[in-house]
Amino acid sequence: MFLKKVPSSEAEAMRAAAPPETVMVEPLPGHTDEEVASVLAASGARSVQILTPGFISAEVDGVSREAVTGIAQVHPKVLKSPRYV
Amino acid sequence: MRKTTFMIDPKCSVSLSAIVARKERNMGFSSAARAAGFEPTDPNIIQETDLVPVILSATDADALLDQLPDLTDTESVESITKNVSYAGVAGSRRSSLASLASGTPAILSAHVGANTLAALMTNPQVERMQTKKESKLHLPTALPDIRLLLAATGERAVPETGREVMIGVVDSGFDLSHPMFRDAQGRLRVDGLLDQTSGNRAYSHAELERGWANGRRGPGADNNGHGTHVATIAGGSRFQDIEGVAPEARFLLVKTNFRDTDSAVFWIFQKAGTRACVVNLSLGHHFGAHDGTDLEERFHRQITGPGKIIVVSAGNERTDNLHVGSRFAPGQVQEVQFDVGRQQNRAPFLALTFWYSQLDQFEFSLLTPSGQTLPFPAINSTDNYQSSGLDIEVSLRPYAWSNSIQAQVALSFKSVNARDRDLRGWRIRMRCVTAVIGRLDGWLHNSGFGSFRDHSMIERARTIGLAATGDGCIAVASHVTQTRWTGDLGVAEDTRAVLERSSDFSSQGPTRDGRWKPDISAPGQYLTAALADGSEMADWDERASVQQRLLTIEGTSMAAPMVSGAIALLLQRKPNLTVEQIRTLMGKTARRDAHTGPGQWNPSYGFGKIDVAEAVNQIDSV
Repeated sequence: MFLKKVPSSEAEAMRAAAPPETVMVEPLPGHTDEEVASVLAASGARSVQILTPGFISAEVDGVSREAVTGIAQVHPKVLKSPRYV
Repeated sequence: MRKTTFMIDPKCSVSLSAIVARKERNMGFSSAARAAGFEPTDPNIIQETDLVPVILSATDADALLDQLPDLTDTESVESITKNVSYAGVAGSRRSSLASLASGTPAILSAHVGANTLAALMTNPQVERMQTKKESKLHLPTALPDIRLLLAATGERAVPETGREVMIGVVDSGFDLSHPMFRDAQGRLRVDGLLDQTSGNRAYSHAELERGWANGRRGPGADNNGHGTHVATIAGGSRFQDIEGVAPEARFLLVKTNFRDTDSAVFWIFQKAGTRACVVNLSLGHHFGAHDGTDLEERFHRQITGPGKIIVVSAGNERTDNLHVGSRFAPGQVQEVQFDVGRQQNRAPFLALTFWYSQLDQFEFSLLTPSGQTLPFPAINSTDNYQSSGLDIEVSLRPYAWSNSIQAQVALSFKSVNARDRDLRGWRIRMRCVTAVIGRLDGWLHNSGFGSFRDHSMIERARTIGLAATGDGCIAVASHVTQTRWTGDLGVAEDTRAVLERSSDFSSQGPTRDGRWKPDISAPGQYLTAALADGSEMADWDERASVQQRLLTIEGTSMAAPMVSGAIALLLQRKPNLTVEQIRTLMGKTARRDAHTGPGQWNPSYGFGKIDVAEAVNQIDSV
């Protein structure tokens, strides 16, 4: 197994083409929940929902993720495991 | 007192021999027979209609049943080793026998009268026959341990039952056909259910009643069995010897996809409205800073409030070699080795995150099993590497929420059948360049995906998972309250478990930033609660009692709903309690013993072992 470094432009393209994932979106200072939610919806994000102030749940693809760059932080939701032994 | 003497058949238990002998002599039942669970309608004489529950092994079940006299209408014989049963109808017996191959040894379960019993005793096909002993489920230890039940009488120590309080459970699904989800009139105690695995469909109480009216596979069904067990620990109605902590609370349930757990909590609190509500999360992960600043932890902090409480299991990773941590001096180098685990039906995947102060400087590199060195990029950058079978992403980013740096590696194999030599023997090299704090901590993203090999940096401390490290929840550890249980294979015992000691799997605190988590410890080892019919866990013969619809399993998953139920009782008394008030109350009333030590907080037990009665008694102090 030999690993080759992927050129950054190619890596960016891979990330942009990644399948949609559910994320939590946090508006950056100076931007409102409603503003970010509307940008998300307009860029094709699905299931956009303001849960509480500052926390927006959405399903985004590369396009909608890119659309909120600069106005919000996007955090992928982590898969959890049940806690039995 | 009259002395009775009878011969003991060598292939039968004493009690069975006594029953047959006494029947033949027109005598009443004996103490031995009563101990066997034999309760004749007339104590002075054993009648043929009095049935004896027996289990027997036969060399040839076909021949045995062929040689027996016809069963009466109330008698029955069924094969345990094969799914065949015989009602007490003579004509049906022969056709049923066809499904048992001739000459097949079998274990049979029977309810028969004394005449049939005598016939069985003399039948040459019967190898051994004994009465069915009444199984004593070893479950009543947990509720006395949390001081909810009085050990002497078994009565509840407090009048609260969770009435008017909502218990939310986010889990694998729920078998709502189980009596523990229903009240004494058979009505569901579930006010709503959200299924995140099926288009986020929400079901009302009425829809659930309809959906579960005809069978055991309605909306939100539990394929795994975890959720049914967890929910009924917290709030199950009385069933056999079992009762949940808050048996009159109402349920709001989410069958989760285990990713949108934030949306699940939001849905539950929204549905609860103004009613007091506690949400149980017996789930978690390790992909985060472990300092309470993770997004979901901050979300919990915000969404909780008076009468809105979240409980999270601490995790079961104490001995999983999932965490490394150490203080470094400038110039110090450490190299830790790790292996990637195989996944069932999917390609192996593993993410590691390392965290340190922005005041410090570290250098990282990833060494592949074949010896290739992949350096980490500069701060604020991500590098990607690829081979025919593997994608790797390494990144170094500032983490503003706690002025930390996050170094991250993600390994994504492309095939389920990745080669062992590609999965094993990975290494991370860490070099401390400058140290102001000098502390570095790393975690694999969750248990079951891989492990660090033995190394001086491996710690059991700081194995508490997310979202239990957040301040917006009550984090629950597990201790042992029983070591024996009954499943379909009989009584089993864990001889290594020590009563009252912290469960050896229970993740330890503190958090990465030194805060005290877990908050409290509750019974979580070998807890018996509802078994979801047809679930994966129903196939676990050692733990499941399928006929009794009960399951015994362990984990902080089981400890958390003990605490959630307890909080439901507190909320019944004082519906506007906050998470801070509950933490204070549980802390000041927690039980401390030789295991917890006298100190205020312990990394395994938190503030101690939960004492429900004392917490209720002192509720007005907060």
